[in-house]
Amino acid sequence: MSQSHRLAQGGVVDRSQPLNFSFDGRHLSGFAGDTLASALVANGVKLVGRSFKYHRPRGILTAGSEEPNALVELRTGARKEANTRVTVTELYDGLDANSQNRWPSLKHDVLAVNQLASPIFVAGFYYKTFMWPAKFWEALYEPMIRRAAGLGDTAKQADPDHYEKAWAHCDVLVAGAGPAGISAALAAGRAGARVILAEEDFAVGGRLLSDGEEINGKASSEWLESAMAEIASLDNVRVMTRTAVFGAFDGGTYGLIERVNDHVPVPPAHQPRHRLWHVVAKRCVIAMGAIERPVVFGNNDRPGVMMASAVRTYMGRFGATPGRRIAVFTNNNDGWKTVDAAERAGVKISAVIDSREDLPPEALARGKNGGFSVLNGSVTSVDGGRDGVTKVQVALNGGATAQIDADCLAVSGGWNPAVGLTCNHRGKPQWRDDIAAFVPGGCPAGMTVAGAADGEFSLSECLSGGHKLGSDAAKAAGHSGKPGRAAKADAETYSQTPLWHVSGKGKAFVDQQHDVTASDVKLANREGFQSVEHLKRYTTLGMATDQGKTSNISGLAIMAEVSGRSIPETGTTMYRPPYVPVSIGALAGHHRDEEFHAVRLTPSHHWAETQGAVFVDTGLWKRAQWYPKAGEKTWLESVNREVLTVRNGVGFCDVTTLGKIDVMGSDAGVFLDRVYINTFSKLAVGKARYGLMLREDGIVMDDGTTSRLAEDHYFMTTTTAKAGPVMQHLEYCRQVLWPKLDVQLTSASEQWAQFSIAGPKTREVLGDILDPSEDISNEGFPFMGAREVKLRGADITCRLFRISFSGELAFEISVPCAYGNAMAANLMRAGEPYGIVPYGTEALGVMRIEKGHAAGNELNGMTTAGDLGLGKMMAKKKDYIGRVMAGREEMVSPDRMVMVGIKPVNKLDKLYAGGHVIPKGAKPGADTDQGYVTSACFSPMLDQFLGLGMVARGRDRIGEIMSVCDPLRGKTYDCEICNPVFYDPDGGRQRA
Amino acid sequence: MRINCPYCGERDASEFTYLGDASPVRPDAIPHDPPLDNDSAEAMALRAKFHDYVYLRDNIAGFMKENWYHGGGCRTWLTVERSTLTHEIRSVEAAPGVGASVKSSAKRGRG
Amino acid sequence: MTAKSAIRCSTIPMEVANVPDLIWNETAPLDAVANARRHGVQDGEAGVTAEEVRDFQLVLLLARRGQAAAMRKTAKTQFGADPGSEAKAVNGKAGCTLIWSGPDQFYALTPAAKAKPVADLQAKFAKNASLSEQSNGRSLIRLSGPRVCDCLVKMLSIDLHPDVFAVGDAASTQMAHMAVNIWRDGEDVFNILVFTSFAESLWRTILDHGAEFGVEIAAPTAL
Repeated sequence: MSQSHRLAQGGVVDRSQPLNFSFDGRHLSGFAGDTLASALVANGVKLVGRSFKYHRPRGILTAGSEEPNALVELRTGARKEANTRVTVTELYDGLDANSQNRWPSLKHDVLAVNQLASPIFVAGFYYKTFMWPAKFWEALYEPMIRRAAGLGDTAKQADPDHYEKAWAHCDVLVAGAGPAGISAALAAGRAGARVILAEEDFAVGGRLLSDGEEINGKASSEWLESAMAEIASLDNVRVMTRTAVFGAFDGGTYGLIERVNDHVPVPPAHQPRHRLWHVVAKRCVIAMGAIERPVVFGNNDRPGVMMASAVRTYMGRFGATPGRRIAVFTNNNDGWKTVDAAERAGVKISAVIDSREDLPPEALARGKNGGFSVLNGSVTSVDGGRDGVTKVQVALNGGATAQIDADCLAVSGGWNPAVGLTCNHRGKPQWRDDIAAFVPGGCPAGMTVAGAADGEFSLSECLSGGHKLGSDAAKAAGHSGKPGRAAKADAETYSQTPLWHVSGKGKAFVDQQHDVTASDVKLANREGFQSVEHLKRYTTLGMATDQGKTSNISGLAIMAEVSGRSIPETGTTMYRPPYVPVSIGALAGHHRDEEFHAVRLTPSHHWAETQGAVFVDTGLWKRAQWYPKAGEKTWLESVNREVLTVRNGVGFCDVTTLGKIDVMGSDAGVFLDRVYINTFSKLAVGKARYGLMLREDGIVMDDGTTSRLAEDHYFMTTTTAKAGPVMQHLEYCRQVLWPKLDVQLTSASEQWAQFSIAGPKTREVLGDILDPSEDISNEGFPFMGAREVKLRGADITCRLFRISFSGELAFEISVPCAYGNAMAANLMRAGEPYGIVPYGTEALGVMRIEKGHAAGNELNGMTTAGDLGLGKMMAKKKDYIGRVMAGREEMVSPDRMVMVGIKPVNKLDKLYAGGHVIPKGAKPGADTDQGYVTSACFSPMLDQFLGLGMVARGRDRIGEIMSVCDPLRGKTYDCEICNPVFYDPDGGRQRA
Repeated sequence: MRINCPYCGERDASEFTYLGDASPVRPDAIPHDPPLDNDSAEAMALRAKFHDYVYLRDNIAGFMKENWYHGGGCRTWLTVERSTLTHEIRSVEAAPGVGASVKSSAKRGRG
Repeated sequence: MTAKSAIRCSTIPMEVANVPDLIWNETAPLDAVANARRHGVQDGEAGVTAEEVRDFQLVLLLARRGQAAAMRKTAKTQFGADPGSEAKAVNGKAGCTLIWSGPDQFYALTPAAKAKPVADLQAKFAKNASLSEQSNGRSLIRLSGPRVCDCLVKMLSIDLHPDVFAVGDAASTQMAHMAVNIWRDGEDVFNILVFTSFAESLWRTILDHGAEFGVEIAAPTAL
């Protein structure tokens, strides 16, 4: 079979470029310019898929984005894409498509027995049937339903293609490049506006491509060519094909999805498959046309039943015919264009069934001349199975019946303007009786609607309306150039008589994608789900990939009829973005895998890599977690060695990730007094102090060490996690709360590489690093000192701080970031005689737990300064953020959970964070819960696991044996509540 | 959503951080010397004031003034008058202490 | 990167016995990745040229309360240009550029060899501005080429139309969620300051997005 249904001539396909493709393993061919749908039509393929619920045979219903039925799995392997609409799939050489939701084959689908059981698959079936017992849901019902119902199968491998996002800005965005959109873009472009003309299709022209009409007295194709040539000559107009506008967002931002490389088997190197555009437009002209609506009758889902406009598109645009004996069923004069198209294509029309009571007399004459019968009546059902329509059953308006032989039934129930985007800001579409359709009502600011999308269906209205709105939009955006003349076409009048549903034999489908029938809508009405939003949820009408573009209006019209309300009274459901399917890949864009988020590297990162460090993600940062040495089998071995080396000798750690903020200005001290609970204005120049800040509700926000470098210059440090939020908070205080204070703030996090050097041999190493003139003795540089120092032999000014997180004799040194790698290498050189080791975040964490220093796990958004044992730091004679609220009764209650040390009684027990603290031997439960473990580690110094935790009245319970219950690991063990400072409690080591 | 920063021009909302209602004013809370007893009527009254400042917010359907931080740009705090129903923005003003400005704002307390 | 020369004090004289040699090499933020090569599409003219710019002094100046005008006056004498109050980048003397970064604050970007020590500058601005040195805190990336805007729109949300973001215009904004200061140095030339820790991440992002146009990575240059 070689393109059996391709017409001898016609269409805008390139017959000199044949393309091979396969469908369900059959090798077929089409032409460049085909969609997969038109190529299937040209090959006489009618059966394309099985339906969602009943596995009914389905064909192609439409020729556009609204297609509910003809969904396939496109491509294979990792690039397999399920639920691809064949009507918007551009044909390419080697295309491989497979039908879905059938087994073992499309023709012989075992689950088609669902059709026999269909009486039970009615609306609300899942809700009603699979209720009890509840535990069967996950184990049995859901997997079963998932196997039986559903659409395509997704690829199981990672998507090998890449996706990106981009921004564009313009004065006028025109959505849709049919006659109205092109007219609008041309007018706005001539006026001088920056215009983006976006078209979902790969070809511009819209209905002009399908319905050969005349513009300015010539074939519309001539106008199309010259208009596009003029647009191409305008630098200020950008045409984006394969690009659909899918959402209107706030402030004139629009979402566009560009299918950059869906029309080739594999995207060219370095090119994305899809690109998601954020377009910021001062004005937007919607010219997205209208969608032809079906009529609901018996077996209206049979392959061969097709929208009349789609039949014309396959004939006119693609030079292929969906049938050889076509019957037309219409309730409007536009449907009659199908007869013209068939006559042009040389395809036989077997009959026209027109449901309008007052059938125009010229219609009957037309039939006589054309050699086909014209019936005044309605189609009740069609005969035929998976191979398509064979007969059409008609009820004549007089009461008689008729039967027509046909292999294709072209249906036109009238047109629905594509209002979707106009309703994205809760605008309610308005009902227009004359066209029996909803038109836009209450568009988002800056949006206007032209042509068929506004219910003005004739070509002349599209051309003039588009031109007018295009020039208006340009003017509104500040461009007063001349928009030129609008193109002209003959006036036409659209006339229709509403017809939604005809009773007849066989299932009558409203939503073909979700297998929702007219009886389901009636059932929903009987059961009280009359609101359209309820109707949608109860029957699933209008859900899934097509979002009910061909079914919503019919569904609510039937609901209106059976519930005795008018259609506008019944109303529409909410239209939300996306208007067309958008790939998840495009929404993620560049941000996947390693690029999921931006990565921050510390200044000694590359040095650490040479040392074989294992890195951990800390927020956006990559930090060295530990430095394994040859022979070490577990991470714990490495960490223990690092801790022991620091405690007994010396080690260093890159602590650059801590936030650093320059706080400057004459009121810097006063400012810090107001944000910290303790006093900084009286801190001497050359000194550092630990500071704690609260939120205004009295809960701890962050902590860190702040040094005074000069009278009007403080250098604040924050925790790694809170660097950004603290900066934002300080700017709030400066700009909003205390605008008169002379304070300047800026992040200095990136300027300085900061290293902590810790251990009893720190001075020896540091002495070799610093200029010999620097006195770092206990007298020359006492604990909590802070000043600038010089490096040995290098004219680099650094900052040295005598602060300790590990509890050992320690200094932190800041060098300009460019010397981060050099500093690490030099510390290794200078420290070699003393056995220095680099240590990572794990050892850092172990040592701070041994010392009972609170960190992120304890500053957890629930603790007060008092809870952390820092209540004495709260100054009494000054105001600061959080002071008043920290005095609330509950915040100072003696019953609060406070920070304590927790030590398993059995030295072999492992302690983990997250365990709950209960009285010894109590039954675990909410009523016995008295606290929780916040941090835990193995302490090589105490040779056992240790932890910190929050325990009710904990400070009064030092020495008490309680139980830690760890339900995650199914363990409960006895622990001793102790002083959180496990190691060197009097702090002598850090002051040495 | 687009916010028209007085310094940077119109920018996408993703550059900004939201901090709720801009109308509450931080009460004056200069500590007494000697400090108040925590249970005294005066201390409780002050806490009541702060309670309102920290927690009480009107749930406005319509235009309200809000704090927005242009952290992805010039780092200024802005007062944005925005409709909670439509996201329409009626005005954008810089906070009184933006940059080096000395614009005084009595109702924002001392400082 | 700092005010002084690029590589300094290679080896320290042995003053004390058993004290090891220290080597104070600088590492530029993109040292590990910005080696000259062609990236992405290999054929034809490169659509984008990317280079790391090094050896500069960068100081952020923030006006003291009520001192914005005084700061601008001092800037004029010190840098030979008025930083202004709009989002612009202006050229001053000694090869320096003043880049607006927010209300009453700007960056002074100067070739390292011509820069004055920050402490000296702070003394000149005395009570009208607070200075924060960021020479090592930012990486400077210069992007140019005929497709530079097509590449940038994938990362930047601001409008790059030459009527809107003209030569000499500056913006504090985000590129692929990373805070940057960007200014237009020519029709197809953009300079970008980004936090040092993000430099490699942004660099990778730029290369990824420029690959379809072909990226010429030029050897790092001194400002």
